[in-house]
Formats: sequence, C-alpha cells, structure tokens
Amino acid sequence: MASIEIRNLRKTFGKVVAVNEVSLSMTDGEFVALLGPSGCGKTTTLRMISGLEMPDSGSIHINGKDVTSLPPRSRDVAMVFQDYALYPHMTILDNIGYPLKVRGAPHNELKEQVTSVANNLQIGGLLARRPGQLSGGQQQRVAVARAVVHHAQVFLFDEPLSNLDAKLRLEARAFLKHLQREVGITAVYVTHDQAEAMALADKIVVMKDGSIMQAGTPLEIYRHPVNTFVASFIGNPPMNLLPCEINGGSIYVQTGDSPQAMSAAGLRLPAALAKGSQFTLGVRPEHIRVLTEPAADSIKGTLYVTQTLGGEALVIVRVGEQLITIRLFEDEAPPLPNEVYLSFDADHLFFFGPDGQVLR
Amino acid sequence: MDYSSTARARTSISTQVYLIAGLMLLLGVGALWLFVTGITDALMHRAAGADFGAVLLRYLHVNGIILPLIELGLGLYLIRLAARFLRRDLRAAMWVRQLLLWGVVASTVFVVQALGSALATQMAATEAYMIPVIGVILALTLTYAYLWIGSNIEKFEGQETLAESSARFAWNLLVPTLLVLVFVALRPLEKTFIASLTDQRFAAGADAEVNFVGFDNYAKLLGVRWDLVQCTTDDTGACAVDESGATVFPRARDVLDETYRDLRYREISTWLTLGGTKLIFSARDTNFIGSIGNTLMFTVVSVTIELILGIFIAMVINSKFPGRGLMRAAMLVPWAIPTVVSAKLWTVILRDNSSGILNAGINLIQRTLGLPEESIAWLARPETQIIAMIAIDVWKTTPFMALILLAGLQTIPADIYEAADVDGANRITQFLRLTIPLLRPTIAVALVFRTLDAVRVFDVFQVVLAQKQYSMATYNYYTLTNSQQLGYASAVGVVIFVIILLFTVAYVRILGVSAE
Ligand SMILES: Nc1ncnc2c1ncn2[C@@H]1O[C@H](COP(=O)(O)OP(=O)(O)O)[C@@H](O)[C@H]1O
Ligand SMILES: [Mg+2]
Repeated sequence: MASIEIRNLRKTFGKVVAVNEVSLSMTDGEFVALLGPSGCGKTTTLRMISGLEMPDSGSIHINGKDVTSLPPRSRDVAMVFQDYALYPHMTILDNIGYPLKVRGAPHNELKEQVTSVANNLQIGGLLARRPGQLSGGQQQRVAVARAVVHHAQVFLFDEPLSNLDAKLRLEARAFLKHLQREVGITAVYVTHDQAEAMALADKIVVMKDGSIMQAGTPLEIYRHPVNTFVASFIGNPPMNLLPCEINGGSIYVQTGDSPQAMSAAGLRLPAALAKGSQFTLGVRPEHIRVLTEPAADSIKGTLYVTQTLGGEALVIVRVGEQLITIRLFEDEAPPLPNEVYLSFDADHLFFFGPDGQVLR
Repeated sequence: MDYSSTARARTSISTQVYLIAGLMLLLGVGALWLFVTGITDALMHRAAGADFGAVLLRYLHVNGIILPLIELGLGLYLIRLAARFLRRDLRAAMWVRQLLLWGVVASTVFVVQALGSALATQMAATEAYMIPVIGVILALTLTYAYLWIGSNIEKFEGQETLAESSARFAWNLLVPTLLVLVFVALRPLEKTFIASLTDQRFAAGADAEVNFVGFDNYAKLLGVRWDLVQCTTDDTGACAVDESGATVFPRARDVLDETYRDLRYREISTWLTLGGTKLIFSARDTNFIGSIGNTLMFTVVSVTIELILGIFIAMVINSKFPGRGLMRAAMLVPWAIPTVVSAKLWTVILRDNSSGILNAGINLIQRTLGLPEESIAWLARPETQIIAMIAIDVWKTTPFMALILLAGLQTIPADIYEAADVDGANRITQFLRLTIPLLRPTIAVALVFRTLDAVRVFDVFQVVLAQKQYSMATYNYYTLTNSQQLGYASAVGVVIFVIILLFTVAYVRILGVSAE
C-alpha cells in the first residue's frame, strides 16, 4: 500500500514521443485506470512506474521516496504484463509462487497462498500444468495470480483481462475489485475498455498520444468530459457528436448538404458560445427521444437500423451523412416509420468549441 | 445370364487375389530360403570337419549379421501378409500395395543399374540384356498388381483407421532412410565387428590365412587388473629402503602369478601405498588403456571448460553493445582455421625452449621479476602434454560452443526477465532459474556434439604428439598402419564406438535430449 506521485514524466523512442509530460498523483489504496486507445502510451507509463523503462525526464515517487532510478526489484511492485510473460519451463504453481519463492517463503505456505489465489481466478485445477498447455485466457489469469499472490506496495495491471470471455471477465473484475476493498491495494490499471475502467477505478486517467486528456472520478469524466476525445471515449455506445452552427434563436445541424434548424429556446447555452459561431454538439445515446411527428426542437432523420440487446435497444438514425445512435431502455425497439424526428434532452447537452474543448 | 457374368467377375477377381498373394508368398518363402541356406551351408561345412571358428567366420563373411535377420523378419512378415491378403483384409491389401510400390521402385533401379553394366561390359548383346529385360518384366508385373489393388480396393473388407494410414505413410518416408542406414552405417559397423573377431592383418595378400579368435582381441585390449604387492624385505624382515628413503618394491611380474607374465600385463600406475603394501594397476595393452584415460580426461575437461566459457561468451555477445557484429565475426576465427593448421601453430607457441612463444613470454616475466629463467617443455612432459591438448581444443572450439548457445539464448523471450525483475529476482537467481533451465535443451545438443567430437579426437593428437601420447583414435590409427593388425585395430574401433554409444545414451537419459 502506497501513494504514488508522478511528475512530468516523458519518454521518447527515437522520434516517437510515447509519453509526454505526464503528471499523476495517487493516494494510498487508490485504484487508478489509465484509459486510452492503443498506442497512446499507457504501457510505457506503466513500465516506467515499474522501473522496466527509464524516463527521459520527470520523476516517480512511491511513498514519498524518489524511485526514479531504482531497479524494479527495489520498488516492491507487482505487474501483470500485457503479453503475460510467464515462465515457460515452470509449472503454473511455480509461476504463481515465484515472487514468494524469491522472497524465501516456506514451501507449504507458498502452496497455500497460490492455491487460494488460483481458486479465486478459477485456475486452481491447472497448477500442475505448464504455460504452453493453457489457453490465452488461462495464461492471463495466471499472470494476474502471480501479481496478486504477493502483497506488493503497488500493483500494475496492463490490460489484464483483455483475453477473457465476457463472463470470466466480469468475475475476474469482481475479484480484483474485491481484492482492492479487502486489502486496499494501490493499483494502476491499464485498459482500453472504458466499461472496465468505469467499473473498477476510483479515478480514471484518459490518455491520448502520450498526454493526459483528463483525470477524475468515473462520474466526473462521464458527466463533464473536457473535450470531444474524452466524450466519445467514455460511454457505450459513444456520445453522438454533431457539427453545428448557432444563429439567432436556432441551432443549425450541419450533418449533410442542407443544415437543419432546431430551436435553441430552452437550452442552457454556455456563455462562451458566441452568435454565428461553429461548435460541436454532443449528446449521449440515452438522452435522445425518437418522435414520429416533427417538433420545434427536433431534427429529421431516416431510420437506418434497430438492434435489440435485451433490456435495452439501439435505434440508429441517419441524419444527413451522419449516423446517430439512440439508446432506449426497452426490451425491444418499438415499430418505427422510415421517417423519424429526434429531440435532444436539453439538460444533457454538451457544447465543444472548434478546437474540441468543452465550452462553459 | 446376369448370374453367370457376376460369377465370372468374382472368379476373375479371385484369380488376381490368388496371384498377388502367391507373389507375396513367393517373396516371403524366397527370403526365408536365403536365410535357411545360409545356415545349412554353414552346417554342411561343420559336418565336413571344419572347426567351429572357421565355420562361424565363413558364415559371417558370407551373410553378415543384419542381412539374415532382415531375411528372417521379412520372410515371416510376407507370409503372414499373404495369408491376411487372401482373407481379403483391407489393411493387408493396403500394405501389399505399399510393398508393390517399393518393389516397382527397386526393380526400376535394378533395371537402370543392369543396363548400365550391360553397356559397360560389352558382352554378347543377347546375354547382357537378359537381366534388364527380366527386370522390366518384373517391374511391369508389380506395377500391374499395384494398379489392380488400387482400382479394386472396394473388394476388400475392413477399414483402415486414420492412424493406421498415417503409420503407413510414415513407413513410406522412413524406408529410404532405413535402407541407407543399413548399407552406409550398419553394414560397415558389422564388418568391423566381424574383423575384430579375427587375427586379420592389414594389407596382407588375398591368400593370407585369417583365423577366428573369438573375443581374444577384446580380452587383450581391455585386460586390466589390480594387485597388491608386498615390499622387499631385508634380513630383519622389515621393508627394505633405498638411499632416498623410499620403500623398495619388487617388480610386479617377478612376484605375481604366472598369468601376469604370460598375458604380458604391465604396470601402469601405483594407486595406493600403505606401509609395506602397494596397490598397482596393470593392463595388457598399456597404450590403449592409457589412450582411454587420455581421451576421457581430454573430453571431460575440455568440454566442461568450453561449456562454461561458451555460456559466458554467448551471454556477453547476446547483450547489446557497440561493435557486437564485429565481435561475433572475430570470435569465429579460431574455429575457421583448419585443426591441422592451428595445431601446428600451437606447436610453435608451445616449443620447449625460449624459441616457443609461451616460454618466451614466461621468460620475459621471470626476467622482469628477477627470477631465474626456466622454460617448461610443454610438449615433452607427460603431465603437460594433455593440458596442452586441452588448451588447443578450448581455444579452437569455444567459439563453436558459444555460437550454438547464442542461438539457444536468442530463443528465450526477453519479457520473462522483466517479469523476474518485477518479481524481485536478482541477476544470479535469474541466471540459475531462467537462463540455465531454458538453455538446457541447447546445452544438451551442444554437449552431445562436442563430446562425441572430443571422444573421437584425432587431428590435434596426431599433429602435436604423434606417438608420444595417444588418443583412442590415434592409437587406432597406429595399430592399423604401424602394427598392421587389422583385427586388433577393428576391436579398438568397436570399443571406441561402444564408448561413444555410452556417452550418447547417458546424455539422452540425463539431459533428455529427445524429450522436449
Ligand atoms: N520499445 C519501443 N520502441 C519503440 N517504440 C515504442 C516502444 N514501446 C512503445 N513504443 C511506441 O510508443 C507508443 C506508445 O506505446 P505503448 O505505451 O505500448 O501504447 P499502449 O500501451 O497505450 O497501447 C507507440 O507509438 C509505440 O509504437
Ligand atoms: Mg499496451
């Protein structure tokens, strides 16, 4: 258990800037998710925290101690590698028990702890096998078990559940969350899956191209995304983003050749939104109503497809060139005519400037 | 009408089945006949009064050991196969078809060869071409039978599982290799073994008498014994002592039993001296026993040093540093030099006075330290001769070892070292628990290569030491060329073979070369 303080971390590989001026502070027992698309520098950040990679500049403090130049084994961290990095010649028991063995744990104690962790991850029956005889998902759980068997100060997870099927993933997620609640582990959790980040993390750090876009609690990030990137990355299905122009009392939605007017009355427009300016309107799929008759604040579209997901349904409507997704909390999408009208929930609209930053 | 045509069809099918089965039976009986005539021939000679050794030798010369076994096995197999084929067993049919195919290939090769020799001998045309013509007829018959089974396979009963047909396919691929092995490896080996049972001489006339001597050659080669020898007593009954104060012992051959003298045992070394008793080790062929000792010493020490140095060098080269490519190329230079050349080089380095480079170096150091200059006769003193051999071999073959091990190191994924770093293992633990176990299969291969090479070492010993000290291979060479004892030299060869075999089996057992 430990607090972590990262200041202005930077790492380049040749000309590629993998991590750019990343600063982050984590309190004791906090579970932080690094979220971002592939190649945005999540793994590199994690590897610098573990000590496997030396930053070009910046510093890392664990529990107030500067560990920037310490080797991994002196940092007391545990890590799940994206590609597992299991020891191919050892049995699963020895793989999971290795951190304990290195620290000189007696054999029966080691076996007991390994068995308990392995059972929690449903790999208790595989202890006598070798990594080569396991499926990808099983190997991944072995890697997770190896990391959590020894109670390190800091846990680093690099997409640890990416290879599990949906049901196992939910169970493993629950196990990790439970572990955090029981033991209060401090963890940095890398994922590209926003649902996983939302479910597990106390704090989410959204990254893009090596830089932090936004950091905050899952709800903060969901409710107040600072830019279009974060807005479209968080939430499933992602937020609809429509190019618009405001003029007089109307908003013109410019998704096709001919802009559609929509009454702006009743909308709480941000102060920064000047008359006659371009902006991006963001609206989440769950905040759109589908009408069969036009209204003052609606825009017209043609029905593209409906999807029944069980418990909820998606309606996808083409407006001009763009597809807009609507999420209905019904078992089945209602029968809809080909021509539909969309009305946005005035309380849940987001306004982003031409540079993609949120307008307030 | 209908009925009679099917009946005819059935009879005609039966005819072919009988013919093919008959062919198989004929081949099987033929093989057995060859086997039996070999034995009856030998028995007849025995009855005619030849002694047992001569008869056995004659049999071995004519038939060898492997061929009768193959004849027996093949004969029984073919007869059984013919019986199963007659019962319309599909699996038997598939195998018959397989054998027919091999038969076609074999007879085609035979025809080509016979044609070639017919053209070469320029015999009367009709006579010379008889054999190829018979071959062609045989090939055509076999081809017909092969095709017939192929197109009538549904007439046979039963089913061949996938595993069985895979096994058949595997045999198909193995047969050429097995044939080559029999004729290229097993037959010469067997001939050597047969020769080792005789007193045959090298380069003797064709009419020279060759006697069967059983295992006498081996008894002489490997005859060793340990004996206790009591000291010579003086008048008082105490042990006699010479001027230097050492206990005086009589010559072993003077005090031990007669067989010691009759079988020409000679003392190799004293193992232990306890008061007035000493334990001596003697052998009938001291040179050969000595060469075994030399070779084993050479093998164990040089391979061990090469392995340790090789791992070290491989790990250095496997890490990233500037000039790594150059280092890798430079490393291979000693290995690229022919052994004879490098051995000559080393004789210059190791010459016994200051004209030798090593002694010149030692003298220089001694001079600067103010010590008296003393040269070491590296290649003249028995203690340093083998050390010199080991040094030359280490110098020459370590690069090869390093290269093999480097290939093994590169198959180890780099990320497990990162995992171990994070898990808290230090470099030494990582080396012992990750590198060594993961390198084990490579080490096994490298050890097998190097050990088998070292056990057969010839060139360095021959060039540098000649007859000063022998390795097993140089001793083998000298018994053949100098003493002209073909039978005895063959026995040496067989013993070397057995020693190599033991090493190989031990490696396979201990290191599990084939297991992973
Ligand atoms: N060892 C490396 N050498 C060169 N480029 C690298 C290396 N590791 C990562 N990168 C580059 O750095 C960027 C960030 O990579 P990474 O941290 O692995 O991303 P993520 O884990 O978010 O998918 C990528 O553009 C990647 O190509
Ligand atoms: Mg990654």
